[in-house]
Amino acid sequence: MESYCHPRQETLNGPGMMQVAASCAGGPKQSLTIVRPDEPSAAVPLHCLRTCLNGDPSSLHKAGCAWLRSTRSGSADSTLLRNGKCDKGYLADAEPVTLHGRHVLLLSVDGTIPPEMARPADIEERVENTSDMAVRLARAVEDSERLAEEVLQNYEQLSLLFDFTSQIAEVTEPEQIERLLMNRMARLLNVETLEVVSSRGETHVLDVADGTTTARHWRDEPDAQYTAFAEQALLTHSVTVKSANDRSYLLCPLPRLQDQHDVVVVSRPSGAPEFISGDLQMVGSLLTFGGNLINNSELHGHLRQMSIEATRALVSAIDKKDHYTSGHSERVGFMSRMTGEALGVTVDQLDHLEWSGLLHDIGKIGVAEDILNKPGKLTDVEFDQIKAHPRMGYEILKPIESLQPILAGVLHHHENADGSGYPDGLELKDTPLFARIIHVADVFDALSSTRSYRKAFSVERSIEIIQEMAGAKLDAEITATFTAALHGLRESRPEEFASMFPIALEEELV
Amino acid sequence: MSRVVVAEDDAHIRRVICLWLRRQGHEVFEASNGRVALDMVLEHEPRILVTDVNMPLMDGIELLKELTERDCSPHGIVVLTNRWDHREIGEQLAGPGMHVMPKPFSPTRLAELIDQLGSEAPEEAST
Ligand SMILES: [Fe+2]
Repeated sequence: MESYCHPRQETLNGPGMMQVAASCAGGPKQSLTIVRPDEPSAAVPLHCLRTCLNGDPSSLHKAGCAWLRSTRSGSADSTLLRNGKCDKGYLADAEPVTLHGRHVLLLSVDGTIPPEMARPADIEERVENTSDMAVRLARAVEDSERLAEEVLQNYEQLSLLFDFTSQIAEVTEPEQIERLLMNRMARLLNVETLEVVSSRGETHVLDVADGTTTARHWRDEPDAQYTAFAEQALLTHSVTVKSANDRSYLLCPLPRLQDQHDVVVVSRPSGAPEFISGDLQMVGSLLTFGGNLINNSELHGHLRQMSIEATRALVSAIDKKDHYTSGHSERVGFMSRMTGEALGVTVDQLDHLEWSGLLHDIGKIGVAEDILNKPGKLTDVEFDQIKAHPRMGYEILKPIESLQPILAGVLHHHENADGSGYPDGLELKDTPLFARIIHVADVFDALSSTRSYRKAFSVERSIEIIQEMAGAKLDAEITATFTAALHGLRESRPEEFASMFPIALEEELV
Repeated sequence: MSRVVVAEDDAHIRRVICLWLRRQGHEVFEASNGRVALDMVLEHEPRILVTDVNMPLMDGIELLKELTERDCSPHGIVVLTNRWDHREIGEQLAGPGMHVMPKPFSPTRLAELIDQLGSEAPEEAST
């Protein structure tokens, strides 16, 4: 075969391939036209078209038609048009070919028919072969385009999935995970609507375009049929596809804690591609995966909350043992964090600092109540018992693996800058940062609360006293930072400040 | 809409990319290796070049080097690659109008990128 009937890379598309097929059927001195219903070619006389189509050009849309017209070299076109008949046209049956959803195929050959092909039967055979080949090629091209389409879709889904899994690792809050999951799913499935019907009754409707969610009650859905199958899906926990109200819906359970299920409902309008088995598999696995992530993160949150609450309860029990220090540990924890923040301590270290402040006096659990609450002066033996509380607290907390970072703060919160403190008599340079911070907060809170042996000092007086202690007893830099942060709190959140130091503020008014 | 040269040796992938870009309305020229792509870029002066890295005869990196040497680099260049070291390639090639996308790429993102490269004012390329 001559090179002109070999397809080039650039012609690997439907019309291009048909052109190639047709040029292979013709000879070197023949030209060829493909006529499609949407672009009739001037090269084919209209009346020939009518002959081919039994007088009905519109039937080309319905049935398709192959038609070859050949002329001998040198003969004029007019000879063909005699009597308005297409007498030298050669007709061949062709199966209808659909390219991009439209029927195509009308071949017209102009030019010299090689002498060996002069008999009409030869040409008819050639025409038949040509149209057959064109049909096959066009089908193959269409198949490959469909395949390419599918590859494109799979590429899109794959990269959305990759994106989703890498982004989901970066969010920790259950609500964030859920939002990300729903947004990604809407894009992956290419759906028009997405709603999460919760077993608790409300529906969260996702705006697929901008990713925002609004809530409403799912029974308020105007379509009764929709309500019925949402209700059914909540009961059965299975993936189903339903159609109602000219839409097709896909319903899939989203596992929640305590054997509860929400149902994710996505829909496409009629006319859009139907849901396929792949969609169901993807929704099913995404929601199981995402649901577990959401649940784990919720569980993690609950556990964390529980451990915080349990610790607070324990700490407040100890504060109660010491009659006059109610809320002391809570305030020391809070003020330590506040000071640490002002000093530029990192966020995860701030959590440790707060816990250390909260638990600093936990060792008082081993000190007798009558010593803690003794109104008069303590004997040396009694004072030794009090001085044992930091080490006792340290011993109590030491076995708890996750509390290792807070131990130093608990053990050394009574060390003085000049080395006169306890338990180890450390000087300022050897005392850990957390302990130095807690020390300042602890002394300030002790001064500004009523004690068994004296009344509370006012806030301003307490600040004056710690400033006097700075250098010899307290870390001067931390004391200055603490004072500034406390003033800042008083100005920016006066109500919170007032509820923390009610007695000391009362003293200020006296 | 832009004129785009697509250089990719895998005929199936090339077909997928070209089909997609033609559907977006771009004028697309197909090349099965870097050498063919070089000729096409010189002949058609496309606004955008989409190229694979590993190709026979002339690979994507050599192609870009040749184009830079001749001062014929298109305004936008998208490097599509399935090589594991695509990040290093990105760092190596980094420059204005240069983008590296690992395969499998997102067709939507490729289309957005090509639209963006197509609509940028030419001055922006030199900054
Ligand atoms: Fe203490």
